[in-house]
Amino acid sequence: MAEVVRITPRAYCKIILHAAKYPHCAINGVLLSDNKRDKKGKLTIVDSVPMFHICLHLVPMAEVALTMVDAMAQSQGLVIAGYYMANEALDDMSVDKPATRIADKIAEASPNACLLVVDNRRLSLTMEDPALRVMHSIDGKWKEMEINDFVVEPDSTEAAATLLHRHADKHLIDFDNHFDDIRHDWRNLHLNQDIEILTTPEALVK
Amino acid sequence: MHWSEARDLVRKWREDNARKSQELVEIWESTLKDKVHKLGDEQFQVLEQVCIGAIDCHRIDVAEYCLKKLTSQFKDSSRILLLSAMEFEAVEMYDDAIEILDAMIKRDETNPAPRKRKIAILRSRGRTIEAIKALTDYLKRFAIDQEAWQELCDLYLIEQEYGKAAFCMEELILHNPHNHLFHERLAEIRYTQGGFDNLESARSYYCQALKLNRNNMRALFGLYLTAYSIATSQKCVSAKKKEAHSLMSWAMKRISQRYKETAADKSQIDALEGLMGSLQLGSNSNL
Amino acid sequence: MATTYHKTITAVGLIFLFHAAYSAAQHRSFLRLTEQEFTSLPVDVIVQGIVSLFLTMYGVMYIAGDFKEIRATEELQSKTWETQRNLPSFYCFNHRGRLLRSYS
Repeated sequence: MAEVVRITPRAYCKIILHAAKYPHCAINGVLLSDNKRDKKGKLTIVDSVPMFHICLHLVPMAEVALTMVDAMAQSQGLVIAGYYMANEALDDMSVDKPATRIADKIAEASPNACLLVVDNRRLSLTMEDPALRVMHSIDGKWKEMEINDFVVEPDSTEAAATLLHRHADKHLIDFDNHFDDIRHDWRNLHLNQDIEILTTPEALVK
Repeated sequence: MHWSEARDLVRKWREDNARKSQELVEIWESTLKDKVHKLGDEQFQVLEQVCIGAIDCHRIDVAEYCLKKLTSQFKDSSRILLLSAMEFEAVEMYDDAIEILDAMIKRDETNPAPRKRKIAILRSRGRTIEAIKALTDYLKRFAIDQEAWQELCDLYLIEQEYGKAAFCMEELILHNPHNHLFHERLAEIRYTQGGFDNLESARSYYCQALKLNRNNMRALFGLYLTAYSIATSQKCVSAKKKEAHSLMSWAMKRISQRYKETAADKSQIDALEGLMGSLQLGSNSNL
Repeated sequence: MATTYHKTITAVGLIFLFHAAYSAAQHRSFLRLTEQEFTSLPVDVIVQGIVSLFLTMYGVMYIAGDFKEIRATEELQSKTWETQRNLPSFYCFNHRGRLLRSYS
């Protein structure tokens, strides 16, 4: 199995919660990696930062958000290594030009960058299916990876389902929420803690 | 929750145009459903609101219940007929919905609501270009419909037609000169278009947004970015450079002040300083 | 919020106001009958008129509901794109909400 991309529960849950909080909107965000590439060139996506659910592709706020995320990531030894998005319409899995532009820019700095598209149709409250489509850049074009090339860590979907049941999506903060009221913290530290608790070995044994 | 609190909350959502469909249906089922007769005349507005909320989260049973209650009170109402068309839309029976809407339009050509639903159906089906065409035709007849101008702006932004989106936003500003959000959005569109003239236009719209609301964070950040882009542009003369620099420092001072007021912790302040430090991303020609 | 208290105050104020007006009219017709010159109204009628005016104003302020800001921009200060972007006439229902709704 030539696994190239690994997605941790923290990154995965925040993507799903972002999609759940704004079910009628297109959403986007960035993916962070720990920059530790193993011998096989595998990329681990350790975190995700929800960005927008209103007017995704206007440039100024995207620039501000990307710069702030970059600064925070660097302070924690992480890099921006991908971009995720979900479309408004249920069956729409297209990737539009502004999205590829941002993804290209991320790929310039981070060669193995990936582009995640949420498969709306496969979402559910029980999350049996990761409901993701992962793309990577080949010769400047974003192409879908084989299903065996990426893995969502095993406890991720269960944690996401638990959080959905708890209505944890109401507490997720993205950059749009932050710009509306800067007291809202886009790093989602409390949510990170909750996800950590749900995926510790003790919790898994239950 | 007491039913009067629920009524007030639902009224607030109705007046603010909040789209909290899941919560609305939950409040309806737990509190309001049995007490709706106590709301007086307001009960029909609440029933309509809950019907649309239920359609939004695919609770067709709740929508049917509300629709039945409304139909028994208002027989042969076009507003209620519109709700039944929306129900068809929710279950993707678009042709049946369109049939109802076409009949409504035929009956009353001056009623804008069914025309707008037809445009929404086009958007739901992913036919954005057709939706744009239909909406521009609609606006020829109903030129002061602000919702329609805003929807058209959204559709143009989806299609990355920034110039046309800017025109729609200008129409909205004409109707609502006091709304800081519209000035801020127009500035963002101009910045996205790029080019020195658009940057200057963006700067003035950001300034106007801030005049109307000093606490608009998007406008503050946007002004900072715009002033930076103007100052580093080759077309900028030295007098304008000076002005741009003073705008940048004013904006950053105000942003820092706002973050301090909210007691943001070190990591957030660092991220802010990261923004100030690395404005290489500021070249809007790339994104 | 208008309570019974404020409605009572308004009613009382209005009654006294009408009573003061009626007293003034009575006073003038009395003066006409007794062929006296009209100089001014009796002090108690004036006082009753003014007091009842303020009583009515106080009561009506509560009945009429909350005051609205006179500056056009004030009301919009708290408006965000969160609600501004919602256009009920154009809502699309073809979204992922139907798969994520919970039965509480």
